[in-house]
Amino acid sequence: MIDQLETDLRDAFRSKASSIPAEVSGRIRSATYRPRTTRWSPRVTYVAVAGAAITTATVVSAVVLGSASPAFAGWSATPTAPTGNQLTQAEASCQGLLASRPGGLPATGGDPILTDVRGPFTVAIYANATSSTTCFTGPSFTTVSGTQGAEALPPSGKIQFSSSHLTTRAASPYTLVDGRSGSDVTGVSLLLDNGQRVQATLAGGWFEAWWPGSANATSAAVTTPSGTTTQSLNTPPTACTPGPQSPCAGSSAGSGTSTGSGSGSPIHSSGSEGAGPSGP
Amino acid sequence: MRNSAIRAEATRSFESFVAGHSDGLLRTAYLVVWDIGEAEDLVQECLLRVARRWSRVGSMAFPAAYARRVLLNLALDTSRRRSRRRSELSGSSVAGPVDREDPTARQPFVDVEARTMLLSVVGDLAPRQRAVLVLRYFEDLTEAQTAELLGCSIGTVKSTASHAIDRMRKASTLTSATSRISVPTNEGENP
Repeated sequence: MIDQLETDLRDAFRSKASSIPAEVSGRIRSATYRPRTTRWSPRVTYVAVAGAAITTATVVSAVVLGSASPAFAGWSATPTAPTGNQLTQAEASCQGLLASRPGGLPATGGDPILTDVRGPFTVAIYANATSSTTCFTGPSFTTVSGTQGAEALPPSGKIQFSSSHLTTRAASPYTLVDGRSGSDVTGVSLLLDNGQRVQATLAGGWFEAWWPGSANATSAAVTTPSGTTTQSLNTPPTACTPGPQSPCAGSSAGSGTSTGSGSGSPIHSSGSEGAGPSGP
Repeated sequence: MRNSAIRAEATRSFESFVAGHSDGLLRTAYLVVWDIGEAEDLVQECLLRVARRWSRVGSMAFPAAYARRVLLNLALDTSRRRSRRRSELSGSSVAGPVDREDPTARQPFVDVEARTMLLSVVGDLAPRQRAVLVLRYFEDLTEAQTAELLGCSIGTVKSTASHAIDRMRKASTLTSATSRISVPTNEGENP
């Protein structure tokens, strides 16, 4: 028997669903997804064959990433040194964007706690004890996003994701991850599920890295003064399995790593884009 | 030549799939995660994952069912992994205020108030509870279908739905009582 509450619930869901802006649907349909036609694409096969040849790794990276993400031309798997006034311009773009946003974002006062430069792209993280803001600046865009939630430092020799974020720019996906690193961590190299390695930037107990595409980070080579260890990272499960605490709890986190360390505070974010001062 | 023809066909069939199912996936994602920006990201990530496996998924009898399962796993995993919720909004993707006719405006005020209250309570539920309710009462799936999609037992679906409905019923009763007390009447104002 269907009672009134269930009927009201159906109506409420329909009402909520009808409020989705049409432009969101349009953006989803217009994105480029590049469906695969074979189990192993030539590019992936190439990675597997060349995997043992360290000297060709850089070439493979250029082939994979260069062909997949023209929107991010100039990106580098290893952080690069800023050129000229790149940091100053990125900072100006970020602050200008934040100033135009009513309410702003948390933790944007002062200097960034971490700045990551990869070719013409700059990512700056502003953080305090309870919130963080990430500002991403490229030759023709600036985006900002913010989070709130207390972050606990991971144990020595470990890293811990704060967020792993996939989004698109000019119909090209990119993935940005950041989080906290143990106090003794001096280097982090992420291994993606496409075989690519991306070196993270570390500063102030934080790490950050991003890459064109939607590949997931599956493990991290974490370097400390006592050596380098491999840390498994939690990637989205392909199946939902029952668990003891909640129905259909997902697979367990990887060793020592979780992407949900915060306090569960609500979204506090804002952003925009436009031609920044760093380029056309 | 043959490879390019295969690629073209895969692209065409995938685009057809996106055109036919992305709106439905977006609605489901939105109702489960309750945030349009996050829902957009989830659907894009879901479609990217489906695209990666399109050589296999495209030949399935019901590729939409596979996509929906991927989407729900992503949505629920996201809610579990990211206790800090993060949303990136860019100028071209800001889901800002939209001027549109509100169909509920034609409803009696009391209905609008009840629906708003109900949506507020649903928004406060755990994503897993919302997922069960969405699949049962928006998608109109059976308990067995819901359990299969979520990868859990029928009993879990029943208990999850029951707890969520109970919570809404209590909130509904409380709000109704409060409304009755707070609504002024002529008798009360002019004894």
